Amino acid sequence: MRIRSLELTGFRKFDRPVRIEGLADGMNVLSAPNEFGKSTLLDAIRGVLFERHSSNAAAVRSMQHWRGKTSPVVALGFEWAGGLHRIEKRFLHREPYARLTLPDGIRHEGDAAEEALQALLGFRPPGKQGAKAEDAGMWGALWVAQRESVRQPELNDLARATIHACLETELGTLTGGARGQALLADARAELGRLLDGNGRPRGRYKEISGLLTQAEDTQQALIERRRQLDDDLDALQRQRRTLAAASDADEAARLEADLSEARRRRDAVLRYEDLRRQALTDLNLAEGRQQAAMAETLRRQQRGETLAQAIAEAARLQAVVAEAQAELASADEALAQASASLELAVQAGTAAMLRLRQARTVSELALRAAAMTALGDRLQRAEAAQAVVNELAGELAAMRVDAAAVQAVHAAAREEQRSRAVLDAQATLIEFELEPGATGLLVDGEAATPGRSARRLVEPAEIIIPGYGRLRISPAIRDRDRMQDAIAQSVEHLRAALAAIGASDADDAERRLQRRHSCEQRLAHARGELALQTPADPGHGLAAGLDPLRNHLQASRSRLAAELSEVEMASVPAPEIAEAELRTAQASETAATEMTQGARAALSAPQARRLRCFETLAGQSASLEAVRESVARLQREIAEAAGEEPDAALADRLAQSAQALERQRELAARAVGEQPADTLDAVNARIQRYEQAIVQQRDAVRRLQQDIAVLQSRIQQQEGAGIDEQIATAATACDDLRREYEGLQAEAEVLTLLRDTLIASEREAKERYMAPVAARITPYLRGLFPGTSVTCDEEFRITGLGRGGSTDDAVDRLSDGTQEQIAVLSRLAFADMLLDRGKPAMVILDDALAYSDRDRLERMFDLLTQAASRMQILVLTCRGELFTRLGGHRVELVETTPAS
Amino acid sequence: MRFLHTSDWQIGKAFGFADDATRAVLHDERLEVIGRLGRLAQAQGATAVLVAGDVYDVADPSDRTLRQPIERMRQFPTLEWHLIPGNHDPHTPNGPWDRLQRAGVPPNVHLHLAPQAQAVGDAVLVPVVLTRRHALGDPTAGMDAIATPEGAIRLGLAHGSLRQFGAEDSTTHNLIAFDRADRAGLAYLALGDWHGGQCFGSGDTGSRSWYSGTPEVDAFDTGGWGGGEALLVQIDGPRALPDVTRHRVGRFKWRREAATLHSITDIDLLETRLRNLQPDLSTLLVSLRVEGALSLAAREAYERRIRGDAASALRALRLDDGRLQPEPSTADLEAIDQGGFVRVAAERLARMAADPAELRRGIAAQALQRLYVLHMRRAGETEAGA
Repeated sequence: MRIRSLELTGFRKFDRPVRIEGLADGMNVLSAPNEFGKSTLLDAIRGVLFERHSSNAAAVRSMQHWRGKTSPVVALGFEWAGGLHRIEKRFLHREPYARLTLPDGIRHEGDAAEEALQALLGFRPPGKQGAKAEDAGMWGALWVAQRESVRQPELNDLARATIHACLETELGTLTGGARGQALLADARAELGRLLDGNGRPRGRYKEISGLLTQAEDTQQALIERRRQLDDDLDALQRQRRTLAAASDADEAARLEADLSEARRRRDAVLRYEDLRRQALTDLNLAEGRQQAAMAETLRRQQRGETLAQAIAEAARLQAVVAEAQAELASADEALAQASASLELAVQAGTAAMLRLRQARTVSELALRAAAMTALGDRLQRAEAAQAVVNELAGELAAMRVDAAAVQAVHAAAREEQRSRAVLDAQATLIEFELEPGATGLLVDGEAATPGRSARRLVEPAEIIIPGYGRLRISPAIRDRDRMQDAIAQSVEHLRAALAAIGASDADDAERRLQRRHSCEQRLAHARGELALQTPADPGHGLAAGLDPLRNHLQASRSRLAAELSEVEMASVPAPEIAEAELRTAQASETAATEMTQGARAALSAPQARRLRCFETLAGQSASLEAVRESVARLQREIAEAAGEEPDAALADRLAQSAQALERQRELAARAVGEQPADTLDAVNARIQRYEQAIVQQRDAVRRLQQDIAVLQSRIQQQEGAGIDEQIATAATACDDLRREYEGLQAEAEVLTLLRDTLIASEREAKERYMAPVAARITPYLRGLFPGTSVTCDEEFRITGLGRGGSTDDAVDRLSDGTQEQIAVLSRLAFADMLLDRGKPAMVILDDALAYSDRDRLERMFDLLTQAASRMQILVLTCRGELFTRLGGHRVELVETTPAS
Repeated sequence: MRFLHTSDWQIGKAFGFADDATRAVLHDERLEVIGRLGRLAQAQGATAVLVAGDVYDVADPSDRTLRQPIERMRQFPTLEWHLIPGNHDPHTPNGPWDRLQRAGVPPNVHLHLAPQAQAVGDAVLVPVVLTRRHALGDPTAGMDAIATPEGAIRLGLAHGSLRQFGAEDSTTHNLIAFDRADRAGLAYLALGDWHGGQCFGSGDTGSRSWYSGTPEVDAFDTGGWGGGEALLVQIDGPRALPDVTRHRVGRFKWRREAATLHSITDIDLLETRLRNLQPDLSTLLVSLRVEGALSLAAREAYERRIRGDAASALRALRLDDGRLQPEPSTADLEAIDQGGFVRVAAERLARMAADPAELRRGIAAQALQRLYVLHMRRAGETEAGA
């Protein structure tokens, strides 16, 4: 189709008639700003073709001018199948019309025109609601209104049919689609009863699978039971045979006999052992007896010998004792002589010692008497000193003065003077200067002396001036009374201090103190004298002091007198005489002592001899006594033994026991010689073996009987069950189930194969079917995306682009601009396809490619220009400058003069 | 002496191939036939029934299974039933015979569990007792030595396979010497084990060794006379030849059939053949082996008419059609679709099904068949809708 002309009258905004000018083959571009009415032109073309002239549908009414109820008139001239056609319609008029003029000049009017047009262009008559997109068929896809260009055309049935028609002329009829789908659905449905979405068994198939497993298990279990039963039966046979063998009575009897024999042999062994042991015991006994008899005999013999020895020893000891006694007597005599000598010496010594003692006493007394004389002198001097001390002490005791008291007097005197001075200071001074001779003047009753004098008044005073009267003076002294009290108090203090030491005044007190000091010095001197004469003499038990000395001298004199009387002397000889006597006595005493020592030394030898004799005698006497005792004991023992068993009897016993021993030795030898062949251990082991064998046999029998009972009960339990029958039944059930399972399995396989084959075939068919569409689009897309391959779906939509390899880009993930470009190109491809099939097509693009960048736009322009070489393309755009690069014919809308 | 000879009752046998309902019927019929045997014996004036082993199918039947045949025999108190163990139910300790003995059997039922002679009417029964499933050597070897009164009619009762002359294969089990009847001086040797009846011996000695076969057939291949019978035996003296009459007692017939199918016509023929096998198809079990190649349409017809209709008419139809190949015709494929992807899919499956190297060949054939069926169903709905 090529549009040649378009005229509008009263159509929407064009209330005045307009027509398109400049339409040519190939590319046509109508460039105008917004609100110009470009889209209105596309609506007008659609309206005049697809809407019925008589329609009152909303779509048709929308053709009217917005201002008034116009009756839109549209006339379209187009070339189709090599001839120029013209269709003109007036809508919404009292007399609407449609006029189709064919190239041959034939004109159809009204509905005939509508029908002829539909047949010509292949669209469906519109419904009451006006023309729908699906009625327009392929034209809806090729004529793209504003904003529709971004999507690929959604093909309606009519459009699809058109494309199918195109494809069929190319590929031949591809029928069976719907029925094929139905068959595929059937196959899927049947398979769906067997398998779930994941290809796993379901329903009966799944159930049967489970049942089969179960049945197989059951069968297996039964077979196992049967096997168990067979095993049990075999075991039972075996056990019974074993039991028969085990219960063999002969064998049992043989064992019992062997056991009895073994026991008999053991008894023999035991008996031999008893006999042997008895013989050995008897032998031991006989040996014991014989030894006892021998021991007794020996004992008696030894005792006799011991007794003889003891008697001899006693005789010897007797002699020794006698000799010792004689020696002792001799020793005693020698000792007596020596003792007498000593006695004499001692007596002489005693006399010498007495004389010496006398001499010493006298000498001592003489010395003491001399000492006492000196002591008497000292006593006299001491007594004199004592007298002085006593006198001074008495004097001193009478003195009340001391340093402190004198100090107190001085202090009191100073206080008295001070207190008087204080009052005097306050006193009223009355100075007198009397004329010599002036008398009579009495001051306080006291006559004043002539000359100058003064008086200090503290008390009111009365001066009587004879003749003249009385002058009374009252000193005004503040605190006078108090000061007078103080004076009085200090006077009193001084008086008391003086009275305490008996002094008249302070000087007197001082003198008295001097006297006291002198007295104290003299007393100290006298006491020193006394102490010098009476010192302590601890050697004589004498304390210091006069009295001890006196007492000591007194006592010493008394003692001396007593001692003198003791030595029976009237007086004390002179010390020299006493000394001479002493020396003489000492010499005689020394001589006597020496003589005594000699006598004593002469005594020690006989004394030692006597001691030795005495000791010897004592020792021998004791030995003799002991020997005598043992003799007595032995004699007693011998007598007792003989009493118990006379020696003759013992000798008999000895002889008999020797014989008995000999006899017993022979018996024992015989008993040992009779040893049996078996040892006890061996025969015991044999018995044990036989006993165990018997027990084991019994146990085995019992065990076998138990086992047999168990087996029998187990077998009997299985009996009624009919395992073989059950196995046969189970096998049948298994077979049934397996057959069904295998049937279902095969069924599933069959249906799966059918389904898969149908699907694969359908896919291939589709791919084949789509190939021409893809082939048309591919060159266009390669103009845009070099090296691109295309995949289409059944709706002839491009779904994927393979770019630069095998990777498919899903179209719906591409940018809007690219999607629009693809959408536009797919329309061009459809148009190409129609053209190829002799169905001239044209493409109208209203404000398309709005989202394309400059580079893409250039390439799209190239592609559009290429397409335009084969078909008419009308581009409506508001972007004039940009689209000038598209070239093509400029189309304009011009107002038509009513005249033309 | 007049008696009935039967064997191989196989009570308790499970019929694995059949469905539950058929299985129950087949199972019951094995008991029912005891009644028919009893009535036959009574009708024919026989006083004893010799059962030559395999009364039970398993060595360890359930109590109920154990008691069921006994109770059936109890219902014929005038008949003496003589039973021996067979290889299916050998006399093992605690086996079915022990259990029966312990539980007690009716007085007219005689369990022969020891190789000892026993009087039966005016004859003497010489039984063979199997004590294990597989006895090495000839189980009847002991028969010769079993003593019987002078001049007695010795009736042998044994279970096992009769050994052919010259076949001295001692490793085979339970093989009975071919001339056992003569060797043991038997007037008649009643044998069990073979499910189809047969008799052996001829010439001077005549036929004294007989297999009665099972009274109710239990398999498609029984050999001999095919089973379903019992033998009525009349013996007039110790060395007289037995007079044996075969009597049908079985209810069900078992048949093997085979067919090759290539077209709808073949299917027609097969259906007709099956339907005409016998008047009462409900007592017939058929094992059918089918091979050939069928178009999808013919296969659909086969499924419907043979596997569906004919199988339902029969007591049981055991089908082996694993070698029935699909051969989708152009018409089949056209029918599925003229073109389009469904046709593509159908052709692809057809190619797979035809490719001998394709492992999933069978699956592909079935898938194609399924596609065909689905399509036909859709077409049918469309037609019905139209």
